[in-house]
Amino acid sequence: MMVEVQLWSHLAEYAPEKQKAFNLKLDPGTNIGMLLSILKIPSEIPRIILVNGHQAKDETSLTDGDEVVIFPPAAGG
Amino acid sequence: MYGWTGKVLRVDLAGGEVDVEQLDMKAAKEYIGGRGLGIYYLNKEVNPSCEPLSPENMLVMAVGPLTGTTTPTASRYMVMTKSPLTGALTCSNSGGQFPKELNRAGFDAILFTGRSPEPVYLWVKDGKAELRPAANLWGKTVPETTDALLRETDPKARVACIGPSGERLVLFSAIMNDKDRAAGRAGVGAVMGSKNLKAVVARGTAPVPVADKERFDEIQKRVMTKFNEAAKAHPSPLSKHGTIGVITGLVQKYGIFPTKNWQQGTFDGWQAIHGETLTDKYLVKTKACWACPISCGRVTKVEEPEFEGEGEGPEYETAFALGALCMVDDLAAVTKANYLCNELGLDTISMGATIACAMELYDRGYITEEQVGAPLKWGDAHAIVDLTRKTGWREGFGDELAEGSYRLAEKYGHPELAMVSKKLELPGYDPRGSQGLGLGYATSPIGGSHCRAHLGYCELIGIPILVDPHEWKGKAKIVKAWQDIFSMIDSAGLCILFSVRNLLRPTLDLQPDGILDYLNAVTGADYTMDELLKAGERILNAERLFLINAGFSAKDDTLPSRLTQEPLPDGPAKGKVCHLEEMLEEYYQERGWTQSGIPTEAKLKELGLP
Repeated sequence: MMVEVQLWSHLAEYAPEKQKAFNLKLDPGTNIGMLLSILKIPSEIPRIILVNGHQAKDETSLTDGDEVVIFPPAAGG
Repeated sequence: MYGWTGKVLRVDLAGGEVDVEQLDMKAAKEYIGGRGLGIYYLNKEVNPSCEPLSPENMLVMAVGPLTGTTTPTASRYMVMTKSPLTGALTCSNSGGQFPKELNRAGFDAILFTGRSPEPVYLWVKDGKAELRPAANLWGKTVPETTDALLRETDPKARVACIGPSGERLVLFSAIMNDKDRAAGRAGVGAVMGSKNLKAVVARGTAPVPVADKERFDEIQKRVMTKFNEAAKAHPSPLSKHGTIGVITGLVQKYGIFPTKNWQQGTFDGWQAIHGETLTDKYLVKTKACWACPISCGRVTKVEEPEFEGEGEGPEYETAFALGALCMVDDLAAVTKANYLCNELGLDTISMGATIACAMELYDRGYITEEQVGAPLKWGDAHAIVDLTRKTGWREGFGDELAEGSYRLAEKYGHPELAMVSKKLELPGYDPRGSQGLGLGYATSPIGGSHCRAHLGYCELIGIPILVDPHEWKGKAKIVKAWQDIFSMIDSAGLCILFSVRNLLRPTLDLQPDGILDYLNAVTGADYTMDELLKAGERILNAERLFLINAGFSAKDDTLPSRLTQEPLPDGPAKGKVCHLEEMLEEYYQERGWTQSGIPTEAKLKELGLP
């Protein structure tokens, strides 16, 4: 299956070619925790993960066509 | 005296007199400073039923005891008065360099009463103050006024002033300081204009005395080492792309980016008005307020001939209001409209939201091309620039926009199209997809604001802990905690952006360890944690009392029906409404208020309020 991954801000350094957004082919049944391992994002790095705009946890399963956005906590207004 | 100067300047504009008074130090400790001192004086001296633009109203400018020290982001001051836009209290906060100068000039607060017969400005330097004529400045823009006053006083002084919008009593006009920083919300500029007060110029040469320098240095080292190490590993996105860069994508992805006057939760043109686009196309340099290690300010320059200009901005809230809300995806136009707001002295949120409201009135056929003077279509980049200019000068249709979205929509028979709470235009997060934010808007003492509690921190980005944005149960307790913390931050003289990440314990009850440390080192007042938490709660309740006495109650703790009855039609929050009524019931219980939204006698007694 294919998912679109977006790594915002400094998390882009974990992208295969340091790009902000890319498509990734994954085995069916892959969940967020497995995706983070594939991307080699250490567990201690603070991040928020959205799958199609909904907050996701490590055990959240991915399906074909999902959009996964991973970003560091920061805010302003 | 440490932190606090112990002095309050009373300015009787009618009589042209200035007097220095001693600050009541018991009140100082109980209300901290800034926003707290503002409500202390308003409750003591202002008739809550007064007409906001009459001489009876009072305008307070107050700094916190940390303002002007080197505590990170101790750059803030607060303007407080009764708002002409809402009829409620308003407190509007700003940073830059002016607040530091005001504290160093020797005053914790300035109380402006009455109305001057002629335009004047106040010149404050090193403990002395005088009113001076300003007739020659009336009609001048913010940059023109600022430059003229620096020539007339001291080039090292700092200026807070109104532009033509404040003079013309535009109901959402701002007080601008250091040219591009705004105490923007709910018409503080109009109150200043109604008093014939054009500007306050401040210069202070003595640093703010610190009670325990050794302790202060120790705290400073600990806080800044942690901040700098994190920044070295990963530069803050706020520093890199500003608030517009951090928030725009986030709200789009959550589907809570208010678009088309809140008829949609996502905006197809979001990338065109994103912070990264601003960095690539228009950023000249970043700019920091006093003592700020973040530097989220954006100095920008637009070279496209039709929207040419230079100045500061836009921030996220500006890009939301003048951009997505009006469906404008032209960042040059949004930035140009921002420059005009700064030059004329307008609040960018209310400006954009009022234009968006007019666009919907036009779209639905409730107002015509003849009334507007031109077609008013969604996404019209030239219209936002043109109407901003006309509003600032109250020309043509701009004269109607100058009254804000509620009065505009009501005039044409559709007040439900004004996206306001207590008649104040809402900021850029749709609470249908972030429930707690809606409760924060509805119970904010000034009306629709994200600066009196910001549930986005925990609902969207996990500060201090991530919570489900779609759950409404239990949010009342978190909103109360944030409101009390924000009143503490505002009163101490700090900026929210730094404080929430670096000075709070990372638990949902938000214990303000860092604020307590800094306050005690600077003031020597020996606050206990309980006293500090009580001070935050006291300020919020004192503000509520002002509202109650002005005729407000639970009936005014509302959101537009669009947010509570019309499900979002698009994006990840599709089908959701904001469950305000359910959250309010819990909120009043948490607060110790009756279900009519009135603080109980027991609660007032606990907080030492009359």
